[in-house]
Amino acid sequence: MILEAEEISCGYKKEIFGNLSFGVRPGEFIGVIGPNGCGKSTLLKALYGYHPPLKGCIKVLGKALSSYTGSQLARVMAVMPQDPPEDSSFRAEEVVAFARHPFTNGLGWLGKEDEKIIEEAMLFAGASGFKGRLMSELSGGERQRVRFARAIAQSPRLLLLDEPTTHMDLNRQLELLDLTARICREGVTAVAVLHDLNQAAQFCSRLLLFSSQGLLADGVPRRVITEENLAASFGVPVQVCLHPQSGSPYLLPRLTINRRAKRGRLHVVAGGGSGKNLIPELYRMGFELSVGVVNALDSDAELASSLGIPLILEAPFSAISLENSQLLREQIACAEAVVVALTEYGEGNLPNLEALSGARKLFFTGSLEAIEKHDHTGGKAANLYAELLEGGASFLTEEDLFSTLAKEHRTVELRLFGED
Amino acid sequence: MHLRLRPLTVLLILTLVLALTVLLGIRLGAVSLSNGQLWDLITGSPSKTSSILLQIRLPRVVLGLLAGMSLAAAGVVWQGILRNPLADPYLIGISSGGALGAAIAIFFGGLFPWISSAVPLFALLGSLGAVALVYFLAASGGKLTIERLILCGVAVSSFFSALLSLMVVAHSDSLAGLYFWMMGGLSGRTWTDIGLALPYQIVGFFIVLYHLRSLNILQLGEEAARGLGVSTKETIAMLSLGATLLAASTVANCGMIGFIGLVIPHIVRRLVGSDLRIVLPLSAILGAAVLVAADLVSRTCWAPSEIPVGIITALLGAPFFLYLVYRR
Repeated sequence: MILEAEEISCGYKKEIFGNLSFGVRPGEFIGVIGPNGCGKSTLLKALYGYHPPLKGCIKVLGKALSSYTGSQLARVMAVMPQDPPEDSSFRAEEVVAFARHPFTNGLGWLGKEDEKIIEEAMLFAGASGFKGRLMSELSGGERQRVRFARAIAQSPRLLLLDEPTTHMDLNRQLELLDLTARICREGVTAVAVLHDLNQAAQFCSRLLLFSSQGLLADGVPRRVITEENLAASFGVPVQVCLHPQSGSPYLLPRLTINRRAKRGRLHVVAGGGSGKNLIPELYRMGFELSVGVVNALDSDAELASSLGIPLILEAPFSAISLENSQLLREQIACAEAVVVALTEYGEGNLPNLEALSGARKLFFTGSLEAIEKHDHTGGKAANLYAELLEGGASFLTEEDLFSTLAKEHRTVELRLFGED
Repeated sequence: MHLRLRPLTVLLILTLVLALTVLLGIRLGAVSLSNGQLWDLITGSPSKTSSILLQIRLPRVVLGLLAGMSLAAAGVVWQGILRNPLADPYLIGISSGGALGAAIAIFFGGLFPWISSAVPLFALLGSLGAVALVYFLAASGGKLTIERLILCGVAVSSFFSALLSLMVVAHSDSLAGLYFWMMGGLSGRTWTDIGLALPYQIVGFFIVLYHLRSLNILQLGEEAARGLGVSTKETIAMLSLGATLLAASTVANCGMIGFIGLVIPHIVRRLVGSDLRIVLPLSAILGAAVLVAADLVSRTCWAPSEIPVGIITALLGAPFFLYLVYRR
């Protein structure tokens, strides 16, 4: 263990969290996350001795933190504090040069070796271009890069970062976290307070999630970033997905959609993502929706179920069964109108088109020419479309569809507050 | 206007300037001496002019040197600790405490003559007492922070100033000397007075120089300094003690000489950058040179009458300070 906290309690006049214990192994990149005021920065300040814990013990390399002198500690551990008071009259390289203070004697003049380390650290942190410029001339994000370079120039075994990506552009945020993850793979250990949970989940090897009651979860990102944990910590409902490339968890806030009005019943036939605009917008407009028949795991099925819309579901990759076909006909019979999104048609979902003859009103999105491209049934789907068009159905763009439906289906009842 | 000259060049120039002002300070005055006469006095036998030189001219120049060095160094320290360019050595009650102490000495000097010769001692005690009170107030009932220190300093200063005004209103005739004391001056001080303040100045300088490297790092902010191995609380406490000793011992002998502690560090920063390991010694040299020169002006330009040197430093310092602000 390079760093250990044993039953520490931290706080100022009042305890913010108590009884916290954890150990950090070399090479870990630990992200400390949690809502404002839960003690993330306080924990970090305790870890480098700026604000010692009220109770408990912190050990660095197996030795109590309090037994280190300032310089001894600074030779092991580098700190990048949050938004420090301005050091604006220094040049960038002078700020970085302070990193060598714990390694020099007397008045702290630098040697050749120090100069080289400073040079390399600035290059590493992408701050070489700021040489000769005053800190006051740099932007907030650029200053952060200089401070990161300073932390690196301290040649630390343990790196403590307090919201290091503040003020940075997205590309620089990712770069800084990537650099940190890279030096951790080479054996440096990092503990970072981070605000962006998705970035924390992507780059850190381990997360400590705090709530206002203290440590809530400790482990690899996939164990920590869960819907239950985040609801408990931040008090907001989120949806956790997996990053399509890295497989690391990321989260989306669950929207509480404000449904201003209440309108009549609509059935939507979609599938394969064709309903991704249609379904949420009709939902927002206040229609009482039903969707189907769709295969389970289809993106439109997931979308509808996340909005709580009733579905007629077919098993994955299966043709629509007779039973579901019947259910669809019943659903269509009691809907005031049916909206059919332009999707791909094969033998399996042809029954969706066959059931439409019972619709009171029928709207298609797309066009007849487009249907031919999406028809994989040798013309059967296109024929069904043609028949239905003769029977009074019409093609509309999505925008026209929304305005037509809004006109034809006046609100039943005006609500001050959206339901849901 | 960040010139960023090489520190050694600046050191050389400032040392030459200081040597020149000291030489002029010794030669010029009510009785001016030529270089030849000066040489004769140094090598020759005691005479009337040599006693002028030794008992009047020389202590005055030495006092100016020490005061200029102390005020400029204390200014660098406070500006470094507070990371505030407007900080000056009198910030936390030193001047008002010293003035009150001096007023007490001058007032009771009318009743007990021995006290009137102890004005510097009383002023020193007043300054140190005020700072001790400020520290006590700032530290009790919470964490000692820079903000609390400044706020308590302002409160204590106002309170002491009010007491002082009360004394002046009630006994304006017996406190006539106080007015001159408050404007700051180097006149009439003896080797004994210098000897009284010197130990405090030596200790003050020692403390400040010992913590100079940490002071430099403190400019990055307390948290960053801590991360670089500076024990911030102890360092700040020791540095403010050192700066207090420097300023209080100066106030005791010279009254309130303004603007040296505020302006000199700014000028030096403009010349050599923000590295306080360089700024502090150079400020001390420039502060000494400027104060000796200002004193020379104050006692020769309107001779035989003399105006307090604090007026000269303020007259020249204030416009120059504004010039620096607007050149930014």
